[in-house]
Amino acid sequence: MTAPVREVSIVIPTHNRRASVERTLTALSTQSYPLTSIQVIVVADGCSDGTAALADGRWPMDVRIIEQASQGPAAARNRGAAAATGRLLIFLDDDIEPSPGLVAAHAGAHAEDTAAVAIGYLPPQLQGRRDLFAMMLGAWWEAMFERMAAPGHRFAYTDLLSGNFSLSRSLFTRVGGFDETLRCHEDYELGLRLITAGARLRFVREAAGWHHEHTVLVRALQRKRDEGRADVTLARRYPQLISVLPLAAFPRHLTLRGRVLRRLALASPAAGDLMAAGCRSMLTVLERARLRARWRRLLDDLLSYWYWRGVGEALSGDSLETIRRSKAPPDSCDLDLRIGLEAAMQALDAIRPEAVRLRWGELTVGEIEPHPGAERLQGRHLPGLLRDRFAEPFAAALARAHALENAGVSKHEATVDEA
Amino acid sequence: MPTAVVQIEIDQVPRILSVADRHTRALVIARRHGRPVGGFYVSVRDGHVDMPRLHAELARAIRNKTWQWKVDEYVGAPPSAATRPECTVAICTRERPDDLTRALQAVCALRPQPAAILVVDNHPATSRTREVVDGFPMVRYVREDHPGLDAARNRALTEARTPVVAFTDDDAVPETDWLEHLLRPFADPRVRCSTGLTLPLELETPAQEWFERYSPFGRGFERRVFDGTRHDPVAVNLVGAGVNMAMRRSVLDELGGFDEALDAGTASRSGGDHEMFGRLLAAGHRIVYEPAAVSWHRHRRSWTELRDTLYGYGVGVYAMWTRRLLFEREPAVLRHAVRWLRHGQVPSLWRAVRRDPDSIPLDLQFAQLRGCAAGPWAYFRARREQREGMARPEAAQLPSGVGLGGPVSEGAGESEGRAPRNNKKPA
Repeated sequence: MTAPVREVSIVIPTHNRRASVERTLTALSTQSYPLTSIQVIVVADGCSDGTAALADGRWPMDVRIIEQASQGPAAARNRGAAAATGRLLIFLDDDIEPSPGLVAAHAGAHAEDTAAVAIGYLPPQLQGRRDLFAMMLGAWWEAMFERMAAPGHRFAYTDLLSGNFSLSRSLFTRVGGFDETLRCHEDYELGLRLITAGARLRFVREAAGWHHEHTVLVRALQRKRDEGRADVTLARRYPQLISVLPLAAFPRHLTLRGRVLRRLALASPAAGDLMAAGCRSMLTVLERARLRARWRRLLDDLLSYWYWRGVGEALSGDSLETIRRSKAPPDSCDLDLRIGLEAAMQALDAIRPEAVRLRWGELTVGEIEPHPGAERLQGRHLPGLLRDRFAEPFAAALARAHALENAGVSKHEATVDEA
Repeated sequence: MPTAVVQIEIDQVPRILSVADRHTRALVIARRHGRPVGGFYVSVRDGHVDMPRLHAELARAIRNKTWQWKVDEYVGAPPSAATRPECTVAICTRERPDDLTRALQAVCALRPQPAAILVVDNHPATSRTREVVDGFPMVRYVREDHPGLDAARNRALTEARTPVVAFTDDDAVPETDWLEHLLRPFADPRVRCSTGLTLPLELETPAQEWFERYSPFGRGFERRVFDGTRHDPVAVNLVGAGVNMAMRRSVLDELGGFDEALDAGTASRSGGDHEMFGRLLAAGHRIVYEPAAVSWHRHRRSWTELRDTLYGYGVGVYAMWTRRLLFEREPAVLRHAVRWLRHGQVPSLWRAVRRDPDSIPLDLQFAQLRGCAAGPWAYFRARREQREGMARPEAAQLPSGVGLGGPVSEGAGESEGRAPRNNKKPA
């Protein structure tokens, strides 16, 4: 007996969150997209709460539950994708409550572009939490989507969020799926391979799913530690990424306390952990006293401490310098904006460089820096960059060009007069 | 010395600008393609604006912007945001039929038209407001018997059936495209509120001139985004004013609406709008000041009214700070109070005592200081009065904790009882 072919396969990895999965499935059963064309595969990764019992035939769409011993979300997603029969794969996390139009919006994003990777919108739902951390968390998510929604955004591997994205099954198979050895940033790593393979990332706001966000501070700190570890792995495997990973940046923006914490994280973690614990209790005091700016700085320091702590663990005695060294020069080009916006955009589309020096005649406007792990530059990136990042230097260059021209004219007039 | 208010389009400055003979100077509002870009005062002689001076001031006002505009022209306008949210325009009013008529004429002329127009008649003594509204068939009349501007604002939020409610005062005249600009920021889901630029409709009396100098509603010609995750929620003066703002209706549920112990009609006299701005920022939301959303406000004409207004501002600021300090335990309030005293009020008072030219008249300053001193007690009194008002027999069914925002659903509204519902205009 062969399984019927469905248009869309939705893969949901989960670990002991039965009620949450139930909410996701309930929301999926009210999709505007034809339910008969939807296949849902829940991969219960080491679940002991009876998640498997959810496949009890009550759903109006095809729901299948695969059980496996705990192997992490990357392996669970691959397992689900392997069992999928749909032309399109949508990956959802188990804490997402899809809006009725989510599947239709994902499907629509692939209608014309088989190389598309659609990243859906995850409006955070903070369950009425009012604490400063929840507030920051909500703002952090929204800021990320705001960046992606900006017209002409230059997508990078870090934009691939595994909680709500879709791509064709053939593309997923072609790049080899998720890397199961990673327990963190496995989405970034897939994003990098997708961008390298020429996939086109795009943000689809209509593919919205409420994200029931329960992350608390302790969890966020633990997560930072995992990110530190994962970044070392990424840096070793993809040396070209090093310049954009936080671990390569000299922590100039850190406060003195932050630098001390970083040093401790790498050199004497036992003392560092003690100090970090002290800082954490300090956070509560600052929040009570409504000292928001101080609270924020301390939180930043703490997050970076745990990041460095993870980096230190993953380096296990290796020096940071050994991975920091290799760096390839980017391929860059010059672009004279005097040819007009249309022509400049076409030029970028023809060359697709990694970096660009923007000029106005002889005058320098600025440099669009290389961004390893991001799309190569395209014409559509230019207007937004000029508007947001280069508005001031561009205006200054125009003013200077005007002044030079006038000076040239008056000099010319002067020569005429003399003659 | 009455001041004329004139507008110029900077690409088409006329050779001669004439104003009425009585004017001795002019407030010039400079616009570019309709967008306000600067404002400055120029002297007037024999009914003519001093044009060389005007050009000099204009050049100074837009000096830093001209090349930026060239960049904008080169890059082109950003793709305009998605559709604007549906919106209700609400006017909260009390016994000012003449002003209200003018405001309603302006609101009915808005393009695009709002989904609904609502007049909230606050604790009326006569039926004059109702009679004015009867003359505008597209406007809905609602009576709110609980006194206070914030109670009326909450009522407007409760009554509205649209995701956004835009507020304008009965003594303000919004421009035709006001709503279009005021609603644009709401494409960003983090924006809960937007404010616009409010300019003086006339500056004919000394009271109006001093008001515009001392506490203007306008907050400059640059768009600003106030982000609650970064901005100090006590520093809300630059955000804008309630005369020209739009608010997501969800603030009723999220934050409990406006504090009904604040603002006009209560003992605390003002401060309801700023208190809401502060609470929005403290909750991490965003507020956008959008100067393209222009409304013209007729300042109070008489000196007594001006003094009274400034007294009320003093009361309101300190009433609002009292709430923030005691009920939201926000110690930063103390720092702000000290800073205002040290860098604002005391030096200004000193200049007035020394009779420096252009110093603010002493009686206005004293009025405000007296207001500040009275503010905390006024707030407690307003809270008590509000509680007592709530406990009136006819309001007995009121669920506890209401007052800061009422129930949202239509059915619940019926049982609320503090205001006669079903006051909808007969169709």
